Amino acid sequence: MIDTQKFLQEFKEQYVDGEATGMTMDSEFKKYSSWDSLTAISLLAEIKYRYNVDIEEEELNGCSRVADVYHLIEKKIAHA
Amino acid sequence: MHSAYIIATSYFLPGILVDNEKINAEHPEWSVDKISAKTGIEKRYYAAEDQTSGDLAYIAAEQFFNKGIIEKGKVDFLILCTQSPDYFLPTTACILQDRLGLSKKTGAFDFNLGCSGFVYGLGIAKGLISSGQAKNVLLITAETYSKFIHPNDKKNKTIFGDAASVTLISSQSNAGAGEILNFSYGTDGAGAKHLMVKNGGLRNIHKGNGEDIYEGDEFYSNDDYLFMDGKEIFDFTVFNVPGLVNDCISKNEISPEDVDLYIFHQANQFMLERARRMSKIPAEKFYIYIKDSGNTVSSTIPIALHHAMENNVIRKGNKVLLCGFGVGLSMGATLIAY
Repeated sequence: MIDTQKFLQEFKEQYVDGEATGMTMDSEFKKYSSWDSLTAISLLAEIKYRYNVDIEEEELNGCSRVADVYHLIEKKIAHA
Repeated sequence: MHSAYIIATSYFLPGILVDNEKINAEHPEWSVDKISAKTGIEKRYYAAEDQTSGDLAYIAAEQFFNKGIIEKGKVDFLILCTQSPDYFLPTTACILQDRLGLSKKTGAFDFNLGCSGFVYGLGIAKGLISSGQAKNVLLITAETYSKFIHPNDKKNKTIFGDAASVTLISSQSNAGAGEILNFSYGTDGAGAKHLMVKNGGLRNIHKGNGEDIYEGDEFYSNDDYLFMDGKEIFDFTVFNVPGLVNDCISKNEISPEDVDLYIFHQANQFMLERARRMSKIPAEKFYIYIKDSGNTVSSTIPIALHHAMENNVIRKGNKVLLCGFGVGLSMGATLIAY
């Protein structure tokens, strides 16, 4: 099980200027103003680096909350 | 074997300013603040319609010589790094030899690399000097990617700018010179398609019929113009650069703590920051200079190096690691000892 606090902290660091300081696992991560394709690319690279899991951009498109991404990673790790 | 030293670096930015306000005016949905927050870029400059990389190189070189660093007659080799040469043939560097009035005993050639080009150029210059083939090498980088960018391609428009840089590499050291030490290189041609101008070369000789492809409302590609897959380039950078940096450090028989400053190819600030973190480089050792010139391809490292020297960020005794990466896909790193 991935530590949710650590995961959330890594997620927040993808956003510029501390914009996501108040982010929680239930936050809709695409609704922040600095979210764009560059943030998405960086997030997917961070996930690959930290958890050795490949998530496609289409799969990310299907997620709306931080927790959705967390569960997707956990599912991929379980099936690896 | 002779040692090779970087003596001086200067650069030239052409006259057409493209600032974030201008880009915002052309693409109202793409806000000025958002552009500069993400990319770290506020200004980039474009060459005029009739101004080529050869022209930028010529102006940059004349300005360099006017500083009195070296007489033209003492330059015995001229190397031009460009992906937008004046002609397929002849070599733009040969034309430059004539335009600059360099000796007819000068060797001159172009080589085709982008973001990794300056590091490779230093490697070539070091090779020429250490083998005794040259004493004073003028390494010029010159690029007009602006001429490859589609008018609706806001992403590439935001990032790239035109420029030329000039660096003197010599067998003779002086105060302020940096000795060029050991190199690491890397290539992954499987990634060639991720940063490409598909049409107009000999593989796809016909240009002019490229089709605009959009993803939703956003311009995606047209084979007549520059295409960059941002995700692939980002992944290439963050997953390969740390290993290259470590390899360069070990080839120079030092440890990471011995490096005083890192100057990476200034692609865009967001990606650079990720690459820095993945390479475990402390922020205070990581030099950024991109705000006022943008991603000028092979000129970004010499431009940043010039500013680091001017602002006394680099001092005698410092070790500076230069790392270029991108189109090819290609990468290279070297250590300079001041």
